[in-house]
This record gives sequence, C-alpha cells and structure tokens, in this order.
Amino acid sequence: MNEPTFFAAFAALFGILALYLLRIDRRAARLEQQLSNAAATVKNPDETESS
Amino acid sequence: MSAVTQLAPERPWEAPLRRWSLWGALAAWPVLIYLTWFVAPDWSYAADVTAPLTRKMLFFHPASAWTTGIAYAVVFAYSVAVLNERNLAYDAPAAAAAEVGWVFNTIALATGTIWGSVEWSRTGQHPLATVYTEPKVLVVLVMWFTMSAYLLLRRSLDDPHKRARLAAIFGILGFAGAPLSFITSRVLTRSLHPDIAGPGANPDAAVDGTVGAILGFSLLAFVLLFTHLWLQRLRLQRLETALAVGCASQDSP
Repeated sequence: MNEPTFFAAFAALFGILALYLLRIDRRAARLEQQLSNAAATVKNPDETESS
Repeated sequence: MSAVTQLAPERPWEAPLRRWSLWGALAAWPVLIYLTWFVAPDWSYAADVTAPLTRKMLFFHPASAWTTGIAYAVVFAYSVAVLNERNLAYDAPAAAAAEVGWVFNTIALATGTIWGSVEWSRTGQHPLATVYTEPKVLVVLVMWFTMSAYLLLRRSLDDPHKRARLAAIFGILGFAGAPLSFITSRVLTRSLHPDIAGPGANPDAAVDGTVGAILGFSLLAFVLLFTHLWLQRLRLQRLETALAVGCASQDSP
C-alpha cells in the first residue's frame, strides 16, 4: 500500500470535515453558556449587577 | 432597525429536516465507506490506473463538488431574494449555506489537487502546475476565492443592510462558477479533467452499474450532511441573534 496520495486525500476529506464540525460544536457550546448566563441574569438581576 | 440582523422565525419543516438529515447522514456515511472499500472494484489490476487506491476518491471528490454546486445554488436563490425583495430575513439562510458550501468547496479542491497531481501529467511540468493550469480547477479556485471574500466581507461590515446587499452580489457571482465549471471541461478539448456524468461525458471515463450506483449513493450521503450542517448553522445564527437582541434590549434604557 505504497500510495501516500491515498492517505493525504482521505486525511484532507475527513480532516476538513472534522475541523468544521468541531468549530460548530464549540460555537454551540459558547452559545449555550451565554444563554444560561442570560437566563441567570433575568432570574436574579440584583445579584448579577452587584457582582 | 438595530445593528442586529433580522431573522425569520424557524419554519415548521426545519427542525424535523435537521433531525432526519442528521440520522440519514449518520446512517449513510458508514455505508458509503463500506461500499468504497468492499464493494467498489479493485483498480490495482487496471492497467491504465496510476494510483488505484487514490481512485477511491471517486466516491468522495465528485460528490463534494456537486454538493458545493447545490450549496451555492441555495446561496444564489436566497441572494436574489435579498436583492429583489430587500428582505433581510433571506440573508441568514444564504450566509449559512455559503459557509457550509465553502467547506465542501475546500474538500473538493483539496481532494482534487491530490488526486490530479498523481493521475495527470504533462511533460516537463510539475504535477501541481498541471493541476492548477487546468481550466475546470481554475474556475473552481476562483469560485472558492469569491466565496472566501463573501465570508470575509460579512465579518468586516456592521451595517446589516449593506452587508446583506454586498454579500448577495458576491453570492450571485460565486454561484456563476458552478455552471461555468460544468461547461469548461466539456467545451475545451485540451482539458484533462474527466466528465463522468451528464451531457458530453467522456466515454472512457463513464462509470458502470456498480460504480455508478455507489457514486449516486455518495451524492445522497453528502447532500444529507450538507442539509444537516446548513440547518444547524442557521439554528446557531438564530440563537446568536436572539442573544444579541436580548442583550440590546437589556442595555437600552
């Protein structure tokens, strides 16, 4: 199996897909964090302001 | 209007389609990998094939290029709607499709470059020079740069109206590369890129029953993945907008 282009091509395919999926996943996690922060602020605005 | 992009509420078909396309893609991709390794022909016995293992890219490279075309067609349709109806609600679906389409475009370019550099040769020319002087590759490269400009432009403009209008123009220009890339290799006789399907396909590059069926299945797997990623990206955009609107309303006196 002496074909480096075979490995390079499949690494490019799955590497690019994995990087994009990771990026979307991180963005979703960051949004969830921001949403839970916003929910906590709405629930207890005085505490958040004083902190 | 505030500096926040106006976004239409989620349509009733979006959530089920997002879920079903994910399950479809999760089912289709392992099957595609199985078909590629165990059902597709072994090209190591073919006399005219330089890189038999790399030829397995046949089930990933064309599908990624066709999915790029589909994604950019979505960008085109929503971009025309933005310019025609001056409605910012169409801007977000176009932006989401452009981002995911750009990912598939990058995959098509990367896999095509690697595959072409080992399969194509012109005397006295570096393999990469052979690939990047190929008309079809050049058109796809220009398309990739146009959509890169589209994505960069969106990051650099704050005014949502100006951003939507300018992005729509780039979206329409970017899509023009899809039909152009389809035509170039069929019209230009010196083109090395084989055309495996559609009118004017090369007879020596035509795919037989099994290979054709796997090729069709690979397109299905890629389209399912694109559909899910597009709708997922759109959902994230809605969440971001909802958060921004919430923060803006909290900040206002």
